[in-house]
Amino acid sequence: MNYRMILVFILSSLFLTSCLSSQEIERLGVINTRGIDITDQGEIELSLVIFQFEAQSQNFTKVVSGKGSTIKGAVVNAGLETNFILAPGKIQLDLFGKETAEKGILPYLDTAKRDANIPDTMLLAVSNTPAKDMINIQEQNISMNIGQFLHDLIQENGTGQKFPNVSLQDFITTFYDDGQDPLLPIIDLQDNKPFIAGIGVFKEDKLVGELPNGDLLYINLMEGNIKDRWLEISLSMEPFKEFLKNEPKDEEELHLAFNIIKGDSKSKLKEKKSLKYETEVMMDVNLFEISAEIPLDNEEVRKKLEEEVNKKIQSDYERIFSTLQELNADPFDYGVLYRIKKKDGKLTTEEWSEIYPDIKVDFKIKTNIIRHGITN
Amino acid sequence: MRKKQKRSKNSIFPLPIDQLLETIQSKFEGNDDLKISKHEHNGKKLVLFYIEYQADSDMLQNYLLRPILHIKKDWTNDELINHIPLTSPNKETELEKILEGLIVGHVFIYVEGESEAVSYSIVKKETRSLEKAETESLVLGPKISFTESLKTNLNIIRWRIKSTDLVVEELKVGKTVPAGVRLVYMKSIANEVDVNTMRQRIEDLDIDEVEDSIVLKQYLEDSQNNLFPQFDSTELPDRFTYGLTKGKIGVLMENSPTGIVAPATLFSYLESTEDLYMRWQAGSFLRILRFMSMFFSVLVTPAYVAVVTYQYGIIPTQLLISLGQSRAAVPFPPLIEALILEFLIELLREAGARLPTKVGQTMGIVGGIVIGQAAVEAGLTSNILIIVIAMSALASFTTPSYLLGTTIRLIRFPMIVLAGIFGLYGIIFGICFLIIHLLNLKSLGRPYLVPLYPLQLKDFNKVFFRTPFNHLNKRARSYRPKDLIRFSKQEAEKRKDIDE
Repeated sequence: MNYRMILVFILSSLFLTSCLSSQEIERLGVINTRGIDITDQGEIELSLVIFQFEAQSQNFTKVVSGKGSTIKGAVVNAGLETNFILAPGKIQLDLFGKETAEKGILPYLDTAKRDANIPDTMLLAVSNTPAKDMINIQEQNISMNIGQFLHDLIQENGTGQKFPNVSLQDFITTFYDDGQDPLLPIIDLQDNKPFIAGIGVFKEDKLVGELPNGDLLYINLMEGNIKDRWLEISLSMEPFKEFLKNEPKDEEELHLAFNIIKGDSKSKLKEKKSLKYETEVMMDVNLFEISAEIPLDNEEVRKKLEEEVNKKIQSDYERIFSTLQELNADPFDYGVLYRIKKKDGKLTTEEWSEIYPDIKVDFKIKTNIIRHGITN
Repeated sequence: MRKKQKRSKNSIFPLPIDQLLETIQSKFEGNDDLKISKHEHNGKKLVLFYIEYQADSDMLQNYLLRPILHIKKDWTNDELINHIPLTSPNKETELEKILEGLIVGHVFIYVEGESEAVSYSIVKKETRSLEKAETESLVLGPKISFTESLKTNLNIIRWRIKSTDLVVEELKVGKTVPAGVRLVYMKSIANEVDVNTMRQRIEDLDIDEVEDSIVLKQYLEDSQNNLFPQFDSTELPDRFTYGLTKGKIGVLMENSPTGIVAPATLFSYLESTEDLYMRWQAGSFLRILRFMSMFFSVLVTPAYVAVVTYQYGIIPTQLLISLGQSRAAVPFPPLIEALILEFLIELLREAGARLPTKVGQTMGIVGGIVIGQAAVEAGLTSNILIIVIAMSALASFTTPSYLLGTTIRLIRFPMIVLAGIFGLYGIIFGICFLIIHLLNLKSLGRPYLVPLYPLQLKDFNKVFFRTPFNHLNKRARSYRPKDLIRFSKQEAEKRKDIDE
C-alpha cells in the first residue's frame, strides 16, 4: 500500500509536469554568432551566423538578419528568413558595432542575462566596422565559418595570448563590481580579413578608448599569473655600447625576445590619504633572441640588461596607466583596493570617477633572466 | 549370530517372491524396462531386479550374478554379502526406498524368507567429458568448466580445495522429480548465518521439480520481481572456489553445469578471476574498464537521444556540426531512430546466439556491416548513432557474468524511452530510480551495493581495483566471513635471509 502511494506520487510528479518541447538539432538553426548594430532609426539590427543542417547540402552556415526594438524581437524577425527554428543555446560570440559599443552595450546583454538558454561562456567583442559588415564577409576570405573564426581568433589568437575577461559572465561580474571596468577585444578588417586591432577600454558598459594590441601582455600580467608567453622588447643601445664585443654598429636599438616562464603581479594601496599605490610585477624569463652580441656570461652585463628591461617595462606601464587615467577607466581594479580599505566598504562609481584621475601608482618591475642560452 | 534388527513399521518383508514382484510391477506399470531374474538353489528362491539401462550390465554379470551362483551353501543375506566382491551393500525394507533405489540404478537381491532386501549400486551414467568453458571464457587461468555430472563437479572442487574445511552438505529438492543439491562452503571461513539461511531456503522449497541450478537460483533469491540477479552463477570451477575461499557459499545441483555462489553484490558480477591472474596493474585496469563500460553501455544511447532531442547546448560546436549533418537526412525523431537500431542489434545478437557457431559468425558480419552500412545510406539512421550503438553493445559484452549482461541489455530500453520523452532529466530520473532499486536489493539478506553502501573503504582494493597480493592479507568484510585474516602481513613482508 505504502509502496503504491509512493509510486503514484513519483509517477504523477513525473507525468504531470508536461513534456519538454523537443528541439531536434536537424530542425534548428543554431545561432553561432550575433552581430549587434543600431540603425539610424534607433532600431536594433541583428546579423546572425547560424548552423542549419540540410540533407541535400554540405553547406551548413547561413547568415540571416532581422530588425526589432528588442533583441528577442529582432531574432523573431530574423527567423522569417529561414525555415529553421532559431535556437540561442550555442551562441559563442556577441559582436558589437563600434558605435553601438560607445553608447553602452548593457541593454543588449540584458536578454542574455535573463535567458538561461544563452550560455554564459559566450565571448564579447567590439567590431571597428559595423558588426553586420564583419559578419557578411563570410566565405570570401576565410574558409571557416566566420563566427567560429572570430571565436577562435579571440580565444586563442596567434601568439596563444588569451584575452582577459571577455566572456559574458566575466563582463557582467566586472560591470556590477564597483571599482573595476572591463576590457574587450576590438576586431577590425584589413583587406577583408578580420584581425585583432586593439583592446577596447570600457567605462562601465561604454567603450571609451583603445589600447594598442601590443599592450596585451602587460594587461595579462596585471590580470594574474601567466606562463609561457613571449615578450618582445626594444631597448636603447646606449647603455650596452661599452660591452659590445665586435665593431660597434650604428644600430640605435637592441631588440630582445624573452619567453616568460612565470609572471605575476601584485598591487597594494600604500597610503590611503595620498592615494599612493604600488604595483609589483615579477617575471622569470628566458632569453631567446638578441639582435646584438653582448657578453651575457658577464654578471654585470646581465644585471645591466635586467635593469634596462625593467625600466622599459615600467615606462610602458606608466604610459598605459596614464592613458587609462585620461579615459577614467579602471581595468586594473585599483578601485577595489580602495574600497576594501574604506571604512564602510562602499564605493559608488561616481565617487571613484572623481578620485581615480588623481591616484598615483608606483610600478616596480622585477625581471629575472634565468637562462640566456647555451650555445655561444 | 543373527543381529536382532528393529523392524521398521513400513517393512514389507518377509513376503513371498511372487507377491513382491507383483507389488513392484504394479508400481512400474506401463514400463517395460524393469528386469527380473529368478534363481533357485538348495530349495531357496532368490530374485534379482533392476532397471535395464540404469545398471551396468557387465558389472551385474561378473560381480553379482556369477558369485551368487557359485555359492555352495544355502543363500542368506549374510552369505551373499560375504561373497559379492562389491562395497557398500544396502539393506532395505521399505517399498518406497526400493523404488527410489531402482530409479537411480541400484540392483536389488531378495532371498525369500529374509526380512531385508540387499542392494548394490552399480550405476551406469552417461556424461560428457570435461570441456573448455563456453559462456565465460578466460584468456588466462584454468580453462576447465563444470559438467552436468554432480560427481565430476564435486571431484573438481575437492581437487581444487584439498582441505577438510570444505563441507559438502547433501540436500534434496523437488517432490515429483527429486534432485540432489549440494551446499558447499568452507567451515572455518563462511559465515554461519549465511550457511543456515541458504540451507533453510533450500529445505523450505516446496515445489514439484527444479529444471536446473539457474532455476533453483531464482527460487532461492531474495526477490524475484526485479531485473538484477542476486546470486552469482558460474560454470568456472576457479570462480566457484574463489568465492568459497572468500567466505561465500556455493550450491551445486545434479545435472547442471552451473554453480551458484552467494551472497553476491552488484560489483562481484564485474569481477573476473582473470583480474587475479593478471599483474595487479593490468587487473585493476581491466576491472575499472568493466565498471565504466557498464555505465557507458547503459547511458550512452540515452545520452545521444536526450542531447539530440533536447539539450543541444551541451554538444561541443565541432561535434554539433557533424551530428547535425548526419541527422539531417534521417526522417525519424531520435527516439525512434535509436529504438530501431537497438532492436536491430538485439536481433543480431539473439540470432547469433541461436545459430550454429559457423553460421553465427557469418551472420554477425552480414548483419553488422551490411545492414549497418545500408541503413546509413538509405537514410534510416545517422552514422554517429551506429557508432554509439555499436560501442554500447560492445561495452555490454565486457561483463563477465552473462546474467548481468542481459540485465544491462534490458535496462537500456526504458532509459532510452525516458531520454526520448524527458531528455537529460529523464536519464537522471532513470538513474535515481535504478540506484534506489539497487539500494533496496538484498542478496542472502546482505546489502547488494556493499562496499559502496554501507561504505566499507577497506574493501575498495578488493572490489573496485586490485592491489598487490601482499597487501591483500584480509578477506573482504563485505561478505562477513567468519575469519577475516588470510595471512599475517608481517610474516609475508619479512625479508627472508637465504642463510637462515
